[in-house]
Amino acid sequence: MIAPHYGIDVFCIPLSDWLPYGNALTSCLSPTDFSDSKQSVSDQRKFVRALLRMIVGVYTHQEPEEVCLEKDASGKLTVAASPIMPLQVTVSHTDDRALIAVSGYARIGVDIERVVSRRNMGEVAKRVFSDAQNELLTSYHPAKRRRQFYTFWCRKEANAKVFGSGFMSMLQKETTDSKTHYFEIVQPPGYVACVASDHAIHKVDMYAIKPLNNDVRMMYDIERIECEGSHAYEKN
Amino acid sequence: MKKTEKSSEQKLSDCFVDSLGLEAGSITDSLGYNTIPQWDSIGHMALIAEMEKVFDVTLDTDDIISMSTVKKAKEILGKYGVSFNAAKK
Repeated sequence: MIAPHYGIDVFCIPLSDWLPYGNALTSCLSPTDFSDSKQSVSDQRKFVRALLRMIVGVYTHQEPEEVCLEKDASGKLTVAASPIMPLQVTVSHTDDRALIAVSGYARIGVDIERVVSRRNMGEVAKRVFSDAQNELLTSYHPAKRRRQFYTFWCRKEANAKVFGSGFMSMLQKETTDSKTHYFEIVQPPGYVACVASDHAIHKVDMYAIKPLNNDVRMMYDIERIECEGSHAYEKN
Repeated sequence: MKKTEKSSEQKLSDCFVDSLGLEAGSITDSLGYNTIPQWDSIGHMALIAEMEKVFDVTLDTDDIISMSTVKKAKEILGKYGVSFNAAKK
């Protein structure tokens, strides 16, 4: 089914589909999950980690809790000791939506954001976006400006995840790293999403993963979906 | 009617309320970045912008990155001359 040797597979997940199965989901977690976290971990993060384990397990033919997830030196989550092939993974979630991306060939980062009005967006834009991006933002009607703000932000955050460069790189104004390639993933209205990679993105396949009954570890459905309008960004 | 100056504690609480849309009662020293949906990466930057306006400071990049809890925010603001000693319950 899925063999992302030269492409990226992106799983688009409405989390509300999985909330009724929270207990079964958390049984997919490993004791090592969040063991380094100094703060409380939200249920949403636990569910997304469990789904990540389930999805990676499909590639590696392992039980979810057997999947070996580690953080590399830069803090980026990786699949260690994959028995099938090297795998890169990245996750993002907001409100009811989660994206999990998997690749066998490149470092990847994904981000999804809900487009909402926030205080101080202008100040944030001036701080983190380039002058050209700010000029573009100010030329737009407020509703379009808001969406574009999040589009730029998604690219920035996805890029930071590719290189494990964290928040530090988010604060640098140069958004478009020459080594980074971006692909916009069309999401339901009110959301924007982007996947980034350190290699040219030849192919992005999108899937939905849905629970079929209470035995979510065994009984779920993965279905290829079309996200019409999804496209690679022009380099700039 | 005499107008009383808000304490630094109250001002910081207002920053969280106004920039993240939180209830004032939910803001405790242990509240941390990424532990609630509102305090995500964009929310963090909106909060920083609010704090800079309210306290008339410009935070260094290292301080922006290390501001992981409300308690840490107070420590960082302390470096910029903002005192939280006079906070009243």
